[in-house]
Amino acid sequence: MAGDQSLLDQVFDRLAEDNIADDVVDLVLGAYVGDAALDAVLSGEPVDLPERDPSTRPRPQPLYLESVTVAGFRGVGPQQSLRLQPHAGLTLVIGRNGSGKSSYAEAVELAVSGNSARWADRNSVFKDGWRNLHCGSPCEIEVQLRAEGASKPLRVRRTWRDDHTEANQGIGSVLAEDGQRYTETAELGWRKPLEAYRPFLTASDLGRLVTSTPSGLFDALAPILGMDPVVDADRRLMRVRRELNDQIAAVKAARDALRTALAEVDDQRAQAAAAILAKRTPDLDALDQLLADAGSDTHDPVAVAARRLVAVALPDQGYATEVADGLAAAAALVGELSTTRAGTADQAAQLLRMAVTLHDDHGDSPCPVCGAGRLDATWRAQAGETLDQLQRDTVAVAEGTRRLQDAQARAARLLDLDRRISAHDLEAMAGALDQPDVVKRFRLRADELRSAGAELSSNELAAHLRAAYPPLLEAFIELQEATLAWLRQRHDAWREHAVALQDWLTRARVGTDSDAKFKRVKAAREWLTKAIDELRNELFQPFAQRSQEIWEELRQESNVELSGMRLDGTNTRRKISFPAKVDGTTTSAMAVMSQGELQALGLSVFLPRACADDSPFRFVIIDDPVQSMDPSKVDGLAQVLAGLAETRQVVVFTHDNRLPEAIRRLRIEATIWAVTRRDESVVEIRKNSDPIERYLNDAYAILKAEGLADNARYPLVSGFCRSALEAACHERIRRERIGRGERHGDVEELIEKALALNQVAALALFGDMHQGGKVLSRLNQFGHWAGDAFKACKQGVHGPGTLDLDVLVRDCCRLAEELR
Amino acid sequence: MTTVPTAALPQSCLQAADQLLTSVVRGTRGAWPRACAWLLRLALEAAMDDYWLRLHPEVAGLRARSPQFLILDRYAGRHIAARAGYAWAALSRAGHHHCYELGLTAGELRRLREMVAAVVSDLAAERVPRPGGSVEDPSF
Repeated sequence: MAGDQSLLDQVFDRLAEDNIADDVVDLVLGAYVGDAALDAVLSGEPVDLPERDPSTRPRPQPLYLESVTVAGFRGVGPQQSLRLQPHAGLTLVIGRNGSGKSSYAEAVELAVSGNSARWADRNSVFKDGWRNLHCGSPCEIEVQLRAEGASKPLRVRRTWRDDHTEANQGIGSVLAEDGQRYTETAELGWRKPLEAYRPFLTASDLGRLVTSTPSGLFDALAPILGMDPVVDADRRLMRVRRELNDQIAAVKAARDALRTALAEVDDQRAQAAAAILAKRTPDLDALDQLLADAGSDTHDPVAVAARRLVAVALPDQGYATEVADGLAAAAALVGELSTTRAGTADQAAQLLRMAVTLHDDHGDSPCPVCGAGRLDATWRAQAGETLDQLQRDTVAVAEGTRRLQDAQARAARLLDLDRRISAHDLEAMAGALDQPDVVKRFRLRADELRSAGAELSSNELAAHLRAAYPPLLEAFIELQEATLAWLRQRHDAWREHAVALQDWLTRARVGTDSDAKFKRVKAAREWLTKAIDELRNELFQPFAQRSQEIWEELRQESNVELSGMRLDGTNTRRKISFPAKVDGTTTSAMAVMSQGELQALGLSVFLPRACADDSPFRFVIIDDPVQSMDPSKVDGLAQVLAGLAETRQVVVFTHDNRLPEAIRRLRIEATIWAVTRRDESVVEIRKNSDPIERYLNDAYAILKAEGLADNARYPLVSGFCRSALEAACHERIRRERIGRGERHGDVEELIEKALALNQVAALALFGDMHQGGKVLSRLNQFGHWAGDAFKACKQGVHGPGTLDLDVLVRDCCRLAEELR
Repeated sequence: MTTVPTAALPQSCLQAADQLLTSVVRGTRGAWPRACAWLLRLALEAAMDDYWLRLHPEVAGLRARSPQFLILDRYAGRHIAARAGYAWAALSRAGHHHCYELGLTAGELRRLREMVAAVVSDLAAERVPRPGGSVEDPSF
């Protein structure tokens, strides 16, 4: 992993360079620290944010492989160790498929990564084949690693008891160089670097290049850059952004819903609120004011009318009856008085009063009116009484008239509805109520009541009142009830919306806050996304460069050019792109490549990852990299490996001899181990030197071997000698021809055609396999011993010859040196 | 020279091959697969020599091996010839140095050994000369 601090410093550099506002910087840093810090920065709480720290972290101790010991595991039966030099250099382990060599590669991966389940998953074909069939007990793998400069190795072991049936039951143990014990390598902090750098390259890893999705490849390569902390920061910002966005969207959605709901409400307050909400930026204070005023409800004329209507108290029916009765009574009284003395009372009284005055002034005298009567004391007394009676009658009539007038006035007031009920209010309610019939009915009754004309006598009026007032009163009560219900319903409806509006107002106030935050977070994220992109490409550049270099070496005769490998996009759109050119035409690399080229591409892509500077693992294990490569690519691979081996411990497992041959021919320094497997999974590992030397060693070993039948010895020794001579010839043919620039494939084809020793020698000596007849004389130029040895080799294979075997081996040794 | 009777009797060669295949002969670590291949080939060749000498001396003078295998099916029948030819080719290839090929595996050797043993005993069991050589018989 790249040191976090160095990554952070790069972020700081960019922040400073781009001149980012402080509050946005804080957001980026908060997001870098974690969720809690980011939330705190957003809500303005104090947070500890990281600062620039120029001191860099120490590099991890480089680790090398020292030995791999395997027993009872996969292809290996009895315990056998592969020893490695724990420093940079190239080691090849060669063996036929099934020789058990891959078991060592697998053992390293399994022991070091310590995750049997994942291992078994990755190598699903081996799910049941992890324990050796012939010799499955003890079942154990041990890998020794050595940190640079450490005096003791670090031992990683995994053992399976006999009753373990699953690979993942294995028991891990780690003995660190300082004597500390652990159960898993994860405790040493290896998990992340193992995933990021994966120092194991198997055929299936290389195959992943072809089968992986672009995002899968991205995921495989991105961890080497150690950018997780900033990518996580971006993810955190994204989370916050989404939350804020949701909040804002929720407020807006609620606003729209409210507007729709309010549009349905027949209420001036609702209309006013809807108008406020319709604005692009609603005036929250105005809304607040509206909600505060809404309780008094003085703005809506209909509501005011309704309220006035409800407040009207019409005289009850008893009163109306009373008025009618009073009117009738007064009318009767007046009528009665008028029929008695009403018409005459006043004039008679006046005449009598004048006669009394006359009598009082002149005394007794005859009546001046009738002449027959006499005005005397008797008359005077009687007249005085009559006058009093008349006075009383006059008062009574005046009283009756006043009462009648009074009753008439009351009746008139009762009829005067307009004084109590405004026609305007009625009109308003007629428009507002759901059932305007009540208004219509009331109006009908009111018109009936009012229809009483002035021509009506008091009695008739009283009768009209009795008849028309009760239905009117009934209609009015009905109207009042309807109006009250309307008012109540309107109040309820509003209250419901008022609550919703109040709720929305609260959220919208938070929302205005969110808007500001959202802008900041958006700015922070925009910056960070761009920075990540740039940083990634900057960090990835050396890897891409390295990949391209490796590809340049591996491609040899391929016409595919590779340049500018990039990691693109983020999240679901992340991918890796390999722009390639075939004969100068741009295309996608994958589409045009052969199997061997894809394998080479896989190596180009994954080798730089495994050998990243920041990886603590200084070793890289490559299992069968040459499977479908043609010989020229194998040469390129040998060069690449040689280059890597200058700074890395490179261990390559391969099932054929092409890579070792190329390495020898190109004079690349390497240690070569050959793995062979006998029956019962007995695995033998021996150092595989130069093949000529090895064959001669084998010849000598057979020569000296005890317990070998003598009739077998001669053909075997001469056989190894013959192989040594063939190998020497091949070496010469290849060196000369490839040195002259001939194509690998052509040279190999030529060599394949020369089967017999004579043909091979002719090809080596004269460049023509058909010149076999001249071989012996040419060899005799080295001395007759050479020709003799050559002949003995040819024939001895088919049966015992006469030449002394010691001499044969010695002379073949000389001859091979001459030939190679 | 190839027709000189040799000490390489088929059975003793097979035995020597078995010895290398089944037990560890000191000093032969890693060399045994190739050695074993030579011994098996020797056994096969010895059995052939014996067969030609006994039943078709006119062919015994043929020095090159591959023609012998090519004509074997006309004499000994396809059943024997096919297996003999396959085993001989495989063993010969393994016996020569090939840059890009590694030696035979234990499994391959065991299978070839069984094949060689069968061919050796089949050839030894042939008692009556069959018409061959110039006779064209497509059924073989």
